[in-house]
Amino acid sequence: MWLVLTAVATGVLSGLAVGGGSMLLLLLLLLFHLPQHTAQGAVLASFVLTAAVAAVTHWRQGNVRLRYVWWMAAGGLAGAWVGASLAAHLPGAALRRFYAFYLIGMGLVNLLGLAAHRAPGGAPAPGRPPVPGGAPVTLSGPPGPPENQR
Amino acid sequence: MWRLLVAGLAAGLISGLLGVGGGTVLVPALTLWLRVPDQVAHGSTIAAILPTVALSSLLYARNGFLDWRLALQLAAGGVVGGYAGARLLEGLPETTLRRVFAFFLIVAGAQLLWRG
Repeated sequence: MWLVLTAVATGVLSGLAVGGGSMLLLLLLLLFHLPQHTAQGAVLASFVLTAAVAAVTHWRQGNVRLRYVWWMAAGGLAGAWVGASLAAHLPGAALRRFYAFYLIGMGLVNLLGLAAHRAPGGAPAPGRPPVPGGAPVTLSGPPGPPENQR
Repeated sequence: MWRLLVAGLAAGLISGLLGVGGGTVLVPALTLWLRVPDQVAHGSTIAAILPTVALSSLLYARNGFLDWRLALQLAAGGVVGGYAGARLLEGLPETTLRRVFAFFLIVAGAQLLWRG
């Protein structure tokens, strides 16, 4: 039950575009003391469902451009294969250290990105969406005819 | 498009290695490199992440690191939270919240390093 509530909370946070997914993994490690590999595997598998739901929502809103998706997915599949295979052969302590550096890096990038964003003019885009694992996916984008391009 | 391929590769590597989504790499790649509007960047990123996390999950499962029951609980919570968040957070001071969250990540990362 607490696990589900934790996932709800980080799902809400993902609406901030700051990485609810990274937060979920962090809480699984710190609060639930799950082994590193188990926590990572569970977060990734949960993303399959949350990403599918978010992708359908975005598709309906016309926010998906397949000409970008193909290239990113092609690179992503190759990278994921290498990354997940590496993870299987690395000890949990090493993965945890990498993850810690990733969190610090992401925090810094967010801070610097905010500073850069504000400079040219105005507030960041409203209605920022939750993307599992880090970036933002919106569930409340502007309505309109789908413009997904193949 | 080679830049998208490289960004996808980096995002996939981080995602598979660390168990995160990889959107933090892909969204900026689209918005900064290709000047894609935010909403389209987010939508396209999430669509690209889907097959990536699916492959990572399969590899984790094959190596005995996947607890399906746990994953389903997290997914159920994530879907509910995602919808709630999109509504709840509208109108909140996003920049301030993101800054607080960024500091939190840095502190949490440092703590993880410290604890080992």
